[in-house]
Amino acid sequence: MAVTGQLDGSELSVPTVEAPKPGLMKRWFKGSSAYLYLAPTFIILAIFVYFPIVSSLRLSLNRVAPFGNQEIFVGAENYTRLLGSSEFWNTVKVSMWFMVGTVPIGIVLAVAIALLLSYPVRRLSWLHRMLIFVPVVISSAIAGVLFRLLYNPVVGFINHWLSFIGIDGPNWLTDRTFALVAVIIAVVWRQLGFNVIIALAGLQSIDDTLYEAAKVDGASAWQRVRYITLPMLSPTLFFLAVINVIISLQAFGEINILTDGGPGQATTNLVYSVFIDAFVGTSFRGLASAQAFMLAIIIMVFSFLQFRGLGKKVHYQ
Amino acid sequence: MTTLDAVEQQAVEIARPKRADKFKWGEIPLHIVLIAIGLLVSTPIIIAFFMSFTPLKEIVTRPTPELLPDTWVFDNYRTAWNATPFARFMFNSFVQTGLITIGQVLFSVLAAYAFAMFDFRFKNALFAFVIGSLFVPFELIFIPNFITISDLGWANTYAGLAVPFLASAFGVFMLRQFFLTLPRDLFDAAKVDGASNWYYLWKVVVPLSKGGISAFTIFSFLGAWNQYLWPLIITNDESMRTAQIGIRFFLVNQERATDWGAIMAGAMIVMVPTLVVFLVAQKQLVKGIAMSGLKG
Amino acid sequence: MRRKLFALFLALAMVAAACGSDDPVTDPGTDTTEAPTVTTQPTDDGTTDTTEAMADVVQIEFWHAMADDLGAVVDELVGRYNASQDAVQVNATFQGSYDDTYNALLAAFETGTEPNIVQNFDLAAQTMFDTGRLVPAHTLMAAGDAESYLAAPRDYYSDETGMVALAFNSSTPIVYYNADMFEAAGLDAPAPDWTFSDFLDTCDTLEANGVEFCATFGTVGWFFEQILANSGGLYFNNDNGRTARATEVEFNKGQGAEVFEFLSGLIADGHAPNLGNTWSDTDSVFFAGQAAMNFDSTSGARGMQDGADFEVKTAFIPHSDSSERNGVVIGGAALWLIDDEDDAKDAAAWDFMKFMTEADQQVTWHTGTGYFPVLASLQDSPPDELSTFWAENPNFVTAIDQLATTNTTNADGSINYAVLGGRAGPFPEIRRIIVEAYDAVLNGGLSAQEALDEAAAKANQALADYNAFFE
Repeated sequence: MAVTGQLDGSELSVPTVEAPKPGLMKRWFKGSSAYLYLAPTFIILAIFVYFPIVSSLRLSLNRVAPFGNQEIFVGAENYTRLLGSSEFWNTVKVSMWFMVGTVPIGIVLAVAIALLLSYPVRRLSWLHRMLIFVPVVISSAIAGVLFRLLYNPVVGFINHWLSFIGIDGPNWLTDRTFALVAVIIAVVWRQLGFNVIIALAGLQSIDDTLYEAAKVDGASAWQRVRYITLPMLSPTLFFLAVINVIISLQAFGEINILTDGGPGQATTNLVYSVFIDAFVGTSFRGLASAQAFMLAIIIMVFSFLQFRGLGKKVHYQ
Repeated sequence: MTTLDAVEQQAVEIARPKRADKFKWGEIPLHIVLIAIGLLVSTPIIIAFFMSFTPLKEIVTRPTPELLPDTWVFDNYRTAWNATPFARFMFNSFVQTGLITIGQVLFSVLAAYAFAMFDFRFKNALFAFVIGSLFVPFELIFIPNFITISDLGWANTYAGLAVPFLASAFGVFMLRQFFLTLPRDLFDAAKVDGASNWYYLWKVVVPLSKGGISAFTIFSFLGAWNQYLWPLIITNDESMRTAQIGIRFFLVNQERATDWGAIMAGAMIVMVPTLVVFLVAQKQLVKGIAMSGLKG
Repeated sequence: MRRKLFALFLALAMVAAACGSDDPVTDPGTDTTEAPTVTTQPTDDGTTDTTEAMADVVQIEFWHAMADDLGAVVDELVGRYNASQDAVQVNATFQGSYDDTYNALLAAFETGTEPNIVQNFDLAAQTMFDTGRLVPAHTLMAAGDAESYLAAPRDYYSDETGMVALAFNSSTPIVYYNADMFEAAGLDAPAPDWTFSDFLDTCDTLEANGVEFCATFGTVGWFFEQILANSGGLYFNNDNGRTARATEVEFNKGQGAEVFEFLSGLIADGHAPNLGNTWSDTDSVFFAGQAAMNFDSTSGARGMQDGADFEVKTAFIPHSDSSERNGVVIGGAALWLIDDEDDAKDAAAWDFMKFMTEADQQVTWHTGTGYFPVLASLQDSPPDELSTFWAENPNFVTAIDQLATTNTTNADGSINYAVLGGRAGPFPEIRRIIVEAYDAVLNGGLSAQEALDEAAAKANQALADYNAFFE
């Protein structure tokens, strides 16, 4: 069975799995104790996920004093102010560029590497996998610290190595464009192990007999990738796209450690802007909450658009 | 074969891939390419490793960066360990991670069991309630959570670090899938024996789902260990900082030319637990990740 | 069965609760406030045993922002205080940069985890006043105590009622230079009143002699603020926010553009590398011999002198060609006493604060870091050890002279608000806005004036947002 890529709000269970017949179960598990089993999860989610949505909404309709001790109701002022502010649109733009920079590259790299890894070899495959998978356990904070060293203009390695091939490396963290590229590289790197594993799982779920049949028909290696692997991999690609979009929109640790949102606001994405407005300097919680709402809406819209756009092309086995 | 068996099988194959029947010379270019990619991917960690043994004097006085130290020293680890209470940070991280992992696994098992086995009013609504939380970005809720935890007086406490994360919608969903695949005969047998729900959960369901539970445990462990934004805002007492925040403060705590050797030593210290988990439980980890593909 | 389930939840709840309260650090209040403060009221029979005495020690939480070698000296002084008496135990916590400390403190007021004493920087003054949570220093001082401080740090941290915070670590920005490079280029020590043109001439000479970068500095807000003051420019309206709450910035008027053009031009024209908003990478470049001059605080005198393997000398910061040298504002930070609503505790904290500004500690602090001593007596009649130290370490005197030669009054005798320093609630954000203005010039193609105008618009918005709550 394939790892199916269904994202549909109404039906989230994996369709191939049959639940035991309710009629029989009903008699045995006479339900009310179910609520006790659910209670801890329910309580935590209610207090720390659903309730905050409501209070975020309330905060976003108020101006909140720097010490959190006063609130002035201002209605939609925070929202209108954001929509009219070039800084807000800049953070949206940074978030979008960030997504465009991380998601396609991350997925292409992952699939390419997974294709190489899926070719059976006699020995050493454990080593290949270990070296390639390892970023999966690296935190965003550590990734930030490691890349901060690599990009350092004095003791960093990247520009030093670039100089071997005759390239005079840029100011990675103080040039607007390269700072964004620098953070994108760090995030793609941290995400790579995860993506390769997902891609490999997808590849290995493809039935070998399809390839054998294609070989018999004289398909070239590229043709087999193009006409068998990629279509059969589409549910996995779909999943990778969704999860990577969400992860890229939520990038925080690398930005905090590498650039602090700078230079200027070149790497201030929405999340970072929320953080700055809420917790840096005298805070503006109302404005921050309004931005958080916008971010949430963008994340949901993207999930939906992707589902609509990709969903039609996705191949289900 | 069920979906989850398939994933289990895949995970085994991903971590310990099937081997070709015999060695072929033609593989050699592939090996070279893969090792090169592997080295490139691990470069940041390899550099950190070597840098952590290089004396500061060497780092700042070299005309160009070099990978290997001329003299290997252990001082950087001593500096990092003494300059910041890393022992305490690591302990805090273990407590936070432990609480979150235990909470998520336990509560997810309970909730998944209810969703998989029970029939009750509002089941669908409650399931939607749980799954819906997957779509709420953390950024939307961390400001109110900060206020809630503050009002509870839980800032700078393990409770404040862990409680908001004790439930996992993903865990509920994934484990429910597992529980649904268990063979029907077992229910009947248990029913005949007059087993209680509670007994059945712990004596039958959990042992049979060990694979899925351990995969989720690793997944949950890594997520908790690597948390950054939340501990950054909810702790300000040095003795309550976690390792991830500790490394950030250690980086900030550089008044003069940055002591990269000590910083990398600190980074290595913070990475070790996750690297150990990676080496020891690679299979479970891979399985947990492969199964997260089911979520979509 | 259900009972078991309940028991389980109960156990978990207890675990969670235990995590919330058992650890002593989690609840700074309990271990100290519940204990009777024997420190001030010894038991009548005088037989307090040791364990009880231990429990009665007043715990004082002290947050500071002193990193690295500076933090080590703070720890030394705190250790000295704790060893000097056994009634009070001060626990020092490093909270990161000045900005980090400021952010952490504001968040702590919400979470109820604020310390007793915080070392908070110059820019935080207005915000600190506005918290309404301070015990102003002058309410605890003996009459005339305030006079023992140098005028600049005293006035900086005073409001109309008197001194609010105790200046502890005061600094001014200076230029560290590589004396070997200056000598090789045949350059003399820079004159105290050197202008931008003099500076750029020096750059040309140095660079003609093969120096890679003439200077290095981080694109932080401080150097702009200071060189603007040195050129006689105001930062905020209402006399730099000193006679009434600042409502608008002034930095984009008058001298502002000339100063900002000089600073951003050093980077744009390749005289200085663009290292971004940093205090440490600049030192790396300076130590590595890539730059001849390094703008930094006098607080780095010790580290700079010890870290370099060439001779380090120091000079005043330059001023604009179109102005006379005006002098500098004090930087650094002060100790603020936060009201614990427990007089004994406040008194204990105050005792420590006073200790930190006593002559012995100030000498250790000064010689160990480079922050100048805040006591007037130490400059008027220095003890022998200090005179000897200054004779041997002239780099430590530059900042003191730079401040001493500052024009605190204008020609007409009125107060020179430019060097008294700006005061505004959202000053830290405004500093961040200046960091962005550097980028607007260096990457965004704006002129210095355009970048400052853009920054002024953002800063004025921040002022309006803040002031709205304090009308």
